[in-house]
Amino acid sequence: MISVIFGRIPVVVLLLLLLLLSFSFSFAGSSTASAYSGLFPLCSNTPSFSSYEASLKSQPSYVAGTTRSVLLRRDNTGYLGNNLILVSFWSGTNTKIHDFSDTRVSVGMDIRTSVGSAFKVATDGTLTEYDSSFAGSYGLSDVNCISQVNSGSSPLSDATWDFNTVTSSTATTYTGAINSTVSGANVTFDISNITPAPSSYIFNYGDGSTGTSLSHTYSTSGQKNVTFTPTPASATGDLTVYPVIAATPGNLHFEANVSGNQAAFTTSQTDTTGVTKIEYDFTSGMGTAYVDYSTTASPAVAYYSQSGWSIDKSLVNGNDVYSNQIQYQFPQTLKQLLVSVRTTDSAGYIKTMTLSLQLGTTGTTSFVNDNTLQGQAANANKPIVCNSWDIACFVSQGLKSFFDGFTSVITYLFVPNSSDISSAFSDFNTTTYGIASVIALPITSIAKLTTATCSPVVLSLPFLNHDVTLECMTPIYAAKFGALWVLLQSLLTGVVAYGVTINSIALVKRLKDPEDDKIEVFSL
Amino acid sequence: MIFTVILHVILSIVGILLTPIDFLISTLIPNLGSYTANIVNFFGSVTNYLGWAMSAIGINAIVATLLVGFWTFKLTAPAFVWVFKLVFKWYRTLKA
Repeated sequence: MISVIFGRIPVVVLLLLLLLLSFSFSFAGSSTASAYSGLFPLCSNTPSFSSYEASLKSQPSYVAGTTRSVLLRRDNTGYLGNNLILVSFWSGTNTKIHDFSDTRVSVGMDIRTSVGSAFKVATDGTLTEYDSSFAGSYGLSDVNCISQVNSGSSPLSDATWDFNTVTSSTATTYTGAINSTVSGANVTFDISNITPAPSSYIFNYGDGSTGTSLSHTYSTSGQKNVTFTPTPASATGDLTVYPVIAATPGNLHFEANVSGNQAAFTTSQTDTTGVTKIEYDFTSGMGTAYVDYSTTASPAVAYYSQSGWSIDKSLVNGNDVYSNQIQYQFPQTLKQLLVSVRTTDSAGYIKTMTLSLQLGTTGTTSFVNDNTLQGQAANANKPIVCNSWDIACFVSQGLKSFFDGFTSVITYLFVPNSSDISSAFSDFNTTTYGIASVIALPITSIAKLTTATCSPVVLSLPFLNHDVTLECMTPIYAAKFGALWVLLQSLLTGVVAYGVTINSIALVKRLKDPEDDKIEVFSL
Repeated sequence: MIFTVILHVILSIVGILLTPIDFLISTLIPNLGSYTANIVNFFGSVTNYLGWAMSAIGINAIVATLLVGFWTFKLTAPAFVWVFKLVFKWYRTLKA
């Protein structure tokens, strides 16, 4: 009859459904009947957190007043395989408020990461904290059912939850301070004084970024409140650093026109927002000049610290673009010039950058925000730079220098109030290298005698890490010997003057001796 | 000051004459160029203490100037006279 009503196939389907139902009941009954002697029953009743708290306090490692994490252990001894264990907290019977899971492939491992994040123990030992992964506004007190499912090959029925085997971690108390070193925009942190050394840590650098690096480069100046969080965590360390980032000179265009040892520099800056002062330092004792922007956008006064500087500044296009004309006469021919540019912003932060100008080549020099030197100095009126093997060039340059110097001497001797002699041959520097320098060495040394000034000699004593200073003796002699020293100096000067005079006269006589020198020229 | 100028003239003449040779040395035998440079650097370092040495010996600036002036004159005057003599000798030769 049945087969008549439902047919052969529906009967088979019905039998299969009955078989599945029987398996389902069998599985549910087996789970319910399992002996979970450990912490969590399987949705059979409301968990008793008070008993867990008592169990926690009974642990030998428990120290009252410390913050601890609860780590639950599932001992699946005897089973291997990739077990995905899903533990769920339920509020009521149908509302799941929290899941945590763990995967273990070995025997006897703990599912402590997930569970530990679900519970925390307050200082009084109560289980009152739980992580934010609980759904909605539910908390631990809302849990009335805990379920667990094992999707792996190991049957749940043999798993054991044992709260008493839970290991606890005791809070770490750190001592020591965090030190910081500020070098411009870069701040270096030193945590070596913190004991015990944290296993890991993280910085909140106070500029919106976090990280574990002990060095951080800031992009803005000013106070930064840095937070240091060690692990294990018990507290955070705060410190305040003040990175220094002066306003950049913007796009600084630097151009040098050179004629001999006369140099005219044209500078202009754009995007100099925040810059209150720009200073130029021409190295090698060539002087320092600066333009002060702090008082007005277009200061009428240009400052200079060395005679010979001439600075003219004007506001161009009213667009925060400045142009400066700096002229200077250097003591020697310019071939390479290092110019340091230092900017100061309204907060007093200073930033220094250096330009290297290779003079005598074509191009312009731009000084951009990233401190990159671009281009070279302009070639207007550039000094001639001889190419390799261009001996004629070298000789012609030498002759030019010689006659320039000769002209300078003549000018000095015959033109009243002329000061050109100070630069005579000053741009002729071939005696600083090569055979010429060696041959000219005695003369060079003699020349130094005329300008030699005494300065204390400082000698470093090896192995003693101490310096010996030899003071100039003239003041000491004068103080010790008084009038006798003056008399001795006078005598010495007189004797030398007498000897020089006698010998000079004799020399002139020899020059005038026709037999000796055949000086017919003097008779013309 | 005139002594310094005369010395510079001499240095310039030496430089003119030896620049091609120095150029060849620096190009072909750079090590020799470094050697000569080191010699100059050594004496340059030594002469940095000239001021202190003169102070210790008791030679004042006037004495130093007199000595330098005399030796400059003694070493350069005959050369100038010889140059003038040579020029006029050439002039007379060409005139004849």
